[in-house]
This record gives sequence, C-alpha cells and structure tokens, in this order.
Amino acid sequence: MSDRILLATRKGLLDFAKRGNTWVIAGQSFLGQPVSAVLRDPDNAFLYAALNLGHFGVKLHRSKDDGNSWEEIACPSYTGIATDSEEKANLQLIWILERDHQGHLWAGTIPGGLFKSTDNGDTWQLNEFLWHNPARKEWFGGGYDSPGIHSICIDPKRAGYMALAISCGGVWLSEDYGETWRPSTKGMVADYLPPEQADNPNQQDPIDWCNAQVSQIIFGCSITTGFFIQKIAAPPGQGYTHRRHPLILLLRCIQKILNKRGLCRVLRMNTVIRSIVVSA
Amino acid sequence: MPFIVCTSHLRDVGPLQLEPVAGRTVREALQDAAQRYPRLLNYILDDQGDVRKHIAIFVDGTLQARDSVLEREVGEKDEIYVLQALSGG
Repeated sequence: MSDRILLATRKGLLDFAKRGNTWVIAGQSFLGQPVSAVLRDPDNAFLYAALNLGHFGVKLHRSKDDGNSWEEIACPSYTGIATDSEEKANLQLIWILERDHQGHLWAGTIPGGLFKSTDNGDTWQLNEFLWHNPARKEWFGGGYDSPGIHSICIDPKRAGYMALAISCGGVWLSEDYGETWRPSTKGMVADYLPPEQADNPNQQDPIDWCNAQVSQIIFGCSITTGFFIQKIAAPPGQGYTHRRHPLILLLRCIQKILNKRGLCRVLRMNTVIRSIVVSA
Repeated sequence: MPFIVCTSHLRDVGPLQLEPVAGRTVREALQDAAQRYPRLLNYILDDQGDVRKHIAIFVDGTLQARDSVLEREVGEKDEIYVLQALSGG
C-alpha cells in the first residue's frame, strides 16, 4: 500500500503523505492552475506535471527533486504535423502521462495524438502509426471538441504490451512498445450511436481504463454509456462481456416510472463506477 | 524601435515593463523579445504559429484582429501590449 498520493486538480497539484491512519497535505505546487496529469518516475524520482493554462495553452513541468522545485520543459507539439483535414492540429490537453518498462515517457493528448519521450521529457515524438491510421478519421470528441487519449496502460508482466483508451476512439493495443497498434473493442456497445454502428470499434467511448490488481487480468475497464457498465471478463484482445450492474437497472426503472407518469423528464443519468472483473 | 509589454500574468515569461524590441512587424518584434524570454512565444502562439484563441494584442491602444496582427507593421515608438482576453462567464 502506497504512503503517498499525488493529486492533480483544477486548482493545483497536491502531494499527500500518510501519517498513521490519515492523510495530510505534505506539499503543493501550481496553486490556482489546472493540472491535467501528473506522473512520478520511480527510477529517478522525477515528477512531471501537465498544466492547462487556458489562455496560454498547455504546459509541461518537471521536478528533479521530487516536487520541491520545477522547471518548464518541452511540450508535445503538433507543429509541422501533417493532417488530412483542413483544420490544423493544436495541442489542447495532456490528458495522461505514463512511463513504460524501458523508462520512456508517454503522453496522451487531445486532439488524439500519442507522444513518446526517450529523454525524460526534453523532447517528444508523435506516434506516427496511430496518427496516420485511417481509423482516426472516425474518432470524435466525447465532451470535448476533439477526441483524446485519456488512458495509457502498461502491461506489468508482458514486455511491450500497452493499451490506450480514447474518447471517443475505442481501445487500442500494442505488443511492441507502441510501434504498431490494433483496435480491440469486440463486445463493447455504444448505445448512443445508430444501431448499425453500435459496435463500431473507432467510435466506442471508454471513460476510463486501468490495470487490474490481480495476476490473471492485465487490463480492467469501467465504462458507462448511460446505463451500461462494461467489464472485462477475458484476457485483453479476446473480447469483452457486456454486463449491467444491478444498481444501474434500479436507476433505469426509476427513470422509466418518472418519465411515464410525467412527473419529470429524466433524460440521462451518468454514473461512473469503477469495476474490475477477475477471469481465471 | 517599437516596445513590447505583457500582462502581469506572464510573469517570468515575458517583459512586464515596456521594453524595446527590434522588428518591422509584430511577429518580428515577438521573435526578438523571445531572444531574451525563451518561453514567451509558446504562451502567445499555438502549435501552428497563430495567436492563441484567447490572447489579445494591442498596438498603441488599439485592439488588433487576431488573424492579422502578426503581420501588422510597427514603427518607431509603437507600443505592443500582450494581454489575455476576458473569456467565459
């Protein structure tokens, strides 16, 4: 069990430390500034914090003394990046930062580019395979104007295995440290799409993607699209089982009753429930 | 030489007092200022080199159109103000 929590918030970066049975704020940085992602490299204790400064754009900072001081470093950039659309790409958000077993850093961004750094953030390179994949043309923004990579999962056991979750662009797997990618959404259902498109792999909207804490399952997920919770019940790449949580069924019954009696109109209830299913 | 000054929100990023810069256009003036303030351009311009959506640039007290300000010619003693636009509600 960890004794430290780094919490990236819209009002700054908070550093919590465990003191007995409670948690206390041991440090704080970038007060008043939106921090969209944070990462700690366990090998060298470097910290990375991505800021979304609104007027002034996205910034990236690095600390070499575990958070006591910070320096601004290069940001993933879309300068000079070719795109097929007329609208040129600009970095809008660093949504996730992650580190792989080789010590390389990864950044997932809006408008959907994946970046890697092999020099502790001094420079970043766009993942060309994913950016130029024709499937990206079908991605779209889920709550934002553009699609974005919000989750990057590094397989703790298998070297080179990674997973991305994109809103809205489905789930993508790599077995070679990101050199190549393939979509993996079999079994997912996007009920907000026309029925004939509900299983379109490029337009699924995973809300979150995380590693399960058990040995038999590498990737777990929690997805809500209205009243559906989708859980993994098989190793990655072999399809997903679509389940409905009992609580969600109850909420849906309540919604139907209220709507039918004209008491009020419940258009949509969104809940985010994190759930991991173990498969033997 | 024209002059440039930035909003106090760009503390440690750009000049907070009027400073002389070299350049015949606003773009050249910003690039010259960036020689002394290397972080400045990334705060004012986006990845495509355009003025960021919520940045306002005044020249001698007149708000400039964002899509043409960079090519606006500036003369001796012209003052360039870089501010953040008020946005939202």
